Amino acid sequence: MKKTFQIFSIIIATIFFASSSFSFDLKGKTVTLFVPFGEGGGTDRLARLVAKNMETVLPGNPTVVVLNQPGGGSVKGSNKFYSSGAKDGTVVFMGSSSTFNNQFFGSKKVKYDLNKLKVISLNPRGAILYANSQTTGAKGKNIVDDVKTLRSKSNLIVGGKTPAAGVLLDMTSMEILGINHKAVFGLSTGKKRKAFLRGETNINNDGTGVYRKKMKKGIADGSVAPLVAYGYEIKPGTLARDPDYPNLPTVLEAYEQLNGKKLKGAALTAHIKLVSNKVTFSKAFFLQKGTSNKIVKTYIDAFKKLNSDPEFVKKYQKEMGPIKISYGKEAASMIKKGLKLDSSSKKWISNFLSTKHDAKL
Amino acid sequence: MIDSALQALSILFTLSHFLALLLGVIVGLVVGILPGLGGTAGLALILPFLFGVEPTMALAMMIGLQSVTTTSDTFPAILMGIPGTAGSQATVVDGFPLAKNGQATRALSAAFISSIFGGLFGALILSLTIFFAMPIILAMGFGEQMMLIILALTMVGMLTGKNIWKGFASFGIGLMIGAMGSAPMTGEGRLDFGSDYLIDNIPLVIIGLAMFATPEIVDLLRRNSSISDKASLSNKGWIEGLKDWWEHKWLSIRCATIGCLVGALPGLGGTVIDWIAYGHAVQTSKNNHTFGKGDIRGVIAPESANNAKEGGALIPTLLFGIPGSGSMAILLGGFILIGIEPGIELVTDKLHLIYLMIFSVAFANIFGGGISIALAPQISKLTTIKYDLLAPFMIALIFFAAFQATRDWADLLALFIFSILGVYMKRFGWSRPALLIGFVLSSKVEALVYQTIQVYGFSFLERPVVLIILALIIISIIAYIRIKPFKEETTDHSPYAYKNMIPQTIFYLAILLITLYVIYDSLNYARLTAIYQQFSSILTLLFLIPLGIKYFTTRKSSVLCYDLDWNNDKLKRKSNEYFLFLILLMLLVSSLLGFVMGIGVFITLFLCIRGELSISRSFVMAMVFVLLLGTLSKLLTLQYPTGLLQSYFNVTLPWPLQ
Repeated sequence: MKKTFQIFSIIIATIFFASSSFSFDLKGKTVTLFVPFGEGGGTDRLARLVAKNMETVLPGNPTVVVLNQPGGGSVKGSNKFYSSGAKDGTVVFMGSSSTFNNQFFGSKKVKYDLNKLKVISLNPRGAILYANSQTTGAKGKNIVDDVKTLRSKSNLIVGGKTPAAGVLLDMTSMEILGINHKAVFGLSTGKKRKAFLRGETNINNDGTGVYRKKMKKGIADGSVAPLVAYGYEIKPGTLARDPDYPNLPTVLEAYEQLNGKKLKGAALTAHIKLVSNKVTFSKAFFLQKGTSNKIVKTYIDAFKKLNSDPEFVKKYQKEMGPIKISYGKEAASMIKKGLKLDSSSKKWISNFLSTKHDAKL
Repeated sequence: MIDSALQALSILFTLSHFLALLLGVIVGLVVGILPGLGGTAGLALILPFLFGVEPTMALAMMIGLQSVTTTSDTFPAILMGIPGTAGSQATVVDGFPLAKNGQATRALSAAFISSIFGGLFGALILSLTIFFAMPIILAMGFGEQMMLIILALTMVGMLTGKNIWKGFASFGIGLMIGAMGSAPMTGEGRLDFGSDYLIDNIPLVIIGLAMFATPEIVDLLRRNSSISDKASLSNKGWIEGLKDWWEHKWLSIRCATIGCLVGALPGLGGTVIDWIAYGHAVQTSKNNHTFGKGDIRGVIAPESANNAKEGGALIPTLLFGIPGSGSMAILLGGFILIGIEPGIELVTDKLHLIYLMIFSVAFANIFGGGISIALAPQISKLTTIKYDLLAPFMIALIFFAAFQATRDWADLLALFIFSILGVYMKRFGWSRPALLIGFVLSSKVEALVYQTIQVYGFSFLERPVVLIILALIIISIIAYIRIKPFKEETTDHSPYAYKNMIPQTIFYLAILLITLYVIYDSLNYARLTAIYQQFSSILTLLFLIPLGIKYFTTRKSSVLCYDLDWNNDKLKRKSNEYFLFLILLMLLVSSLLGFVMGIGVFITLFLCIRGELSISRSFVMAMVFVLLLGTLSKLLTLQYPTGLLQSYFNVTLPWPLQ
């Protein structure tokens, strides 16, 4: 009896051991890359690049398809994924700055919590603020001279989607540097770039890669002047320069050079939050809440492998720039920290919007 | 330059490129026919297959696809009264009545020849203007775009129908529907009833289907006959169509020019081009009282314009890498994928690629139009089938199309709710085209007026292009005033009869109440959010008040009174409500079993009961449709709306039933 029990328990243990080492395999399955934006945008472009290459690095080489669920600046699709996406590793969700922003500012429509999702990777994209040199007088050579020139102008105008969208970083940055400006809302990324090219707005921002590509002509003939590259938060309270444009200062450096002292208080914390939102949280890949750690780890390993393939990296960096990707736990803690908005920063932002732009968050 | 052109031709005429182009054309024709799917879906479909394909071949395939979706979307528009893409909404207005008169082949033939011509014209203009288009596009700022929208708005005068007040009020309703959803400048929700769905505006496809497709389907079902009462379809139809086009070639040229121009200019986009062309045709025609009842000019005008726009729309996409529409955006994605960087360098360094695109547009239009003409007589026969057999598929198709808008359950509900509005607007003679044009332009009016004022103040009036468009606006208004309204018989024995006024008065009061509610609701918002809602609802009220005064003072038959069901007690037709209820039942079954199963059950029962087919035949036909849905879901990565069965009981059905 005792012996039978021993044999039995050995068998159980073997089965248990075998099943636990039995790795997560997606052979013959279809993995859906869930994109809460329409076809053709920046997030979709990255999704399609990653989808094709994911197939080779995931165990079992599954077919990967992109599912677009656009609407409400990603809120609709994100809500849908959060409430119904599968936990078995067959659905990967892609978020962008807008997805973070909506939770960050506590939009009423948001029914998701990015902190609860299992993050695979956070993919940053550097951003740059630039001006039309003909109508603003900025030269793009020395930020102190440029800010002084810009301060004397009354014709500065920047375009954006809504006051709480990406343009908020541009507006608050100019506020920190003491540059008076107007804003015109209701313009998507593509439309505001068009308006800039037509000369109707004269300050604009773009991802560094997009800037290099779309403003090629203006950069070559000097009609477009780069002002600051926003950089990224390297340790709490400190911004590092964007490795894609290492010669351009951050807003904090510009402030210090202009005022002879460091920026402090609510303006500083608000600025760093907004930079993180724009740059560090530019794109992110998630699995559904409650997905097992083994599956999450498989995906993290697969993404790390993908991001060490030189051929892929070349295409990736053209779109996203060279700022380091973070994975798993590290990424999760960055998200947790980044999504908290302290009340004094919030007050500083809404005070700025209501006094300078007659708008609110 | 000629070198590059010849090089491009020699590339295109290699067998592999030719086949690639042809494949693109065929995919384009198929997605064009399916309502709700257009160039965007088609390009998304082939994009994954373009990795590793030789760039010039991929280019031929993508352009081939993109160029012909507005050719084949004419089939459902003319034959079923369903606008296949936004580009064919205006075609429905006259094309469908022609099909009802047994002239489907003629209408299709004229439409396809107009399409081919428009496409070739667009390619020609593209090849001539690409070298100096840059300054023109750069000149089109907020002010110019706003004036273009206002010019498009003056076209609404042509679309108001018999009663001006009803027409303008319909237009106002369209503007008000445009206020639903987030305000473009603040992102704040308006009239959204707390629903997630209304974070965005109501999708255009849905309003288009609700205004044109559902009311026609319901109307045909009530008549209990086929689409065309005339039994035989003349086979000479396509020669007649060719003759029609030749007779109106100048109209076709003018409309192709409009299409090309508006396609290239930022601001308006493809959705209004067909309406502008249609309005232009009405405005410049002498005997214009036949428009809306099956006038071939009403087909030639929009079809010439909507294919010409593709050539025009390529200009900003190629020069700036800035897409003007969703499909251009994805085309651009495709360019980048195959290593073509759009920009002015393309013109200076890689001219042969530009020519390759131009020739691809031209040949795609010839192939696409040719294939469509060849198929037209066969496909036209659909109109002679008893409509009870066709209707369940039509209903399934429009709901499928609506679902493509945002892929949300609420798409189906929104289509149903606005369909109710559409059905009663048809019954009581309110102008559906006017509503649609108001809706299409609404978001643009709001954003552009604000942006113009914000950037320029009133100094935009100093810009030369603004003044040119202003002159066109004035001409358009004068043309409208000079048109003599056509007097239709308003006897006691027509829909204009003054009898049983209760139903139409109730409809009027409902519209009035909704308008008052929209005004009341607008008081809750901050200035920048509320201003458009206030403007559109108060404008609607201003149109409704005179209409109301007349309603309650008139005591005789006139253009004011209108009820298509005036003699229904004699005809004993099933009511509108009966068929709307059947559609509602389909939605209810879908909410239990999921869309695919719901549609399957609906088609089976409908064919069996109303179509009087045997249960087994009905079932087989429903299965064919379900398989089609399944194939589409595989190809396009679609997930159909699920029901309680899937979401609550967590049942996963096998393909194709999920």
